[in-house]
Amino acid sequence: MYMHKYNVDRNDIREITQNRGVSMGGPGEWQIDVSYASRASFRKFNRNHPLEYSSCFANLDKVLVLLNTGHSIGSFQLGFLRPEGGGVSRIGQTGVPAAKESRLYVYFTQRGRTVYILGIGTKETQQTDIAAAKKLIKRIKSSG
Amino acid sequence: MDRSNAMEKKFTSSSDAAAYLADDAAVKQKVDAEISASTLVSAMIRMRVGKGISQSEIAKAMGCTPSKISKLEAGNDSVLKWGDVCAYLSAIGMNLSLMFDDSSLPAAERIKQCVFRTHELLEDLAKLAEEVGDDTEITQKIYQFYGEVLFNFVTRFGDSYKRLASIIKVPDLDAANSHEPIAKPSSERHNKYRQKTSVMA
Repeated sequence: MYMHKYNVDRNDIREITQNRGVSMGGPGEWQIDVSYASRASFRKFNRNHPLEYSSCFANLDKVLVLLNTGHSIGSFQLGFLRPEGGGVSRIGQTGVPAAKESRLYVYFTQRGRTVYILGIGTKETQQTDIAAAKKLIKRIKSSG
Repeated sequence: MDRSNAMEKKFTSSSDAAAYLADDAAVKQKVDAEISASTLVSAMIRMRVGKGISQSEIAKAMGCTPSKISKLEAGNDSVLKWGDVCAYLSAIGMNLSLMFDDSSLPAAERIKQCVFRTHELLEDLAKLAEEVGDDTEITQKIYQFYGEVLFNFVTRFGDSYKRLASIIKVPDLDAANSHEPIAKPSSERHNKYRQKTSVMA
């Protein structure tokens, strides 16, 4: 067994404790609200592009891990996460060979610690998808 | 989906949300597999973001383009190159700790290694508590964490021990110690050993 000496600092405490599910007394876990998403369109997308579908949600998980470890949205950059204006963010697929460029549209609310799933689509339909996502955000805001 | 006609539906796991939206339970497994295939990449991102380092900064330190970092972070563990992992971690000031777990070793040996490693990490935390002695928030958290580790050890190992006791015949050690005949053979063996060593000396 070979190992380097491990120097612990304050960030590591957060890592060590939170990775093991030990609360450091921070606010609760982020939630994923799917109430506004059209299940029919997600079903269809998954049928047509199953690998891209899984990849987008796996990337959503990477974002959630950062949010759940105390980072606020906008305080970090990731290649597959981009703002589309009007509160809409898109999460792209990655690591899928010969993938159809896909985007999962979401809306993060830092105060409510909730990410709303708005829609999913390909590069070809992105203008329509973004417009629809913006409308959904208006509805979320008006109902909140 | 019209929210007025729908129940509010929330999840904490992206794989559960994906399966629900696709109306396909198998999707959960696929997403979970995808997530576990990028465990190392996720940890690297978490460490970079935790240290407040941007992709451009790390690219500069590594002597490559930011798009390479973006691509690396967007991939999964199977496409990572060892050299890139070392350079990335070095750029964010992290040491790399490797542990080779020999699956052919007896379980007892592997468990011992884990216990020693855990002890070493806890000792590091204790040293940190000593260093930041004035910062009571940190020291309290470390103290609390130690308590939780101890609690987890006791409860989990206690459960395993109980389960073991329920499936095998465990010798009654108290009764065994109270009987001379059981103690004698070991004393005899010990005496024989002493005799042998004295002969050798």
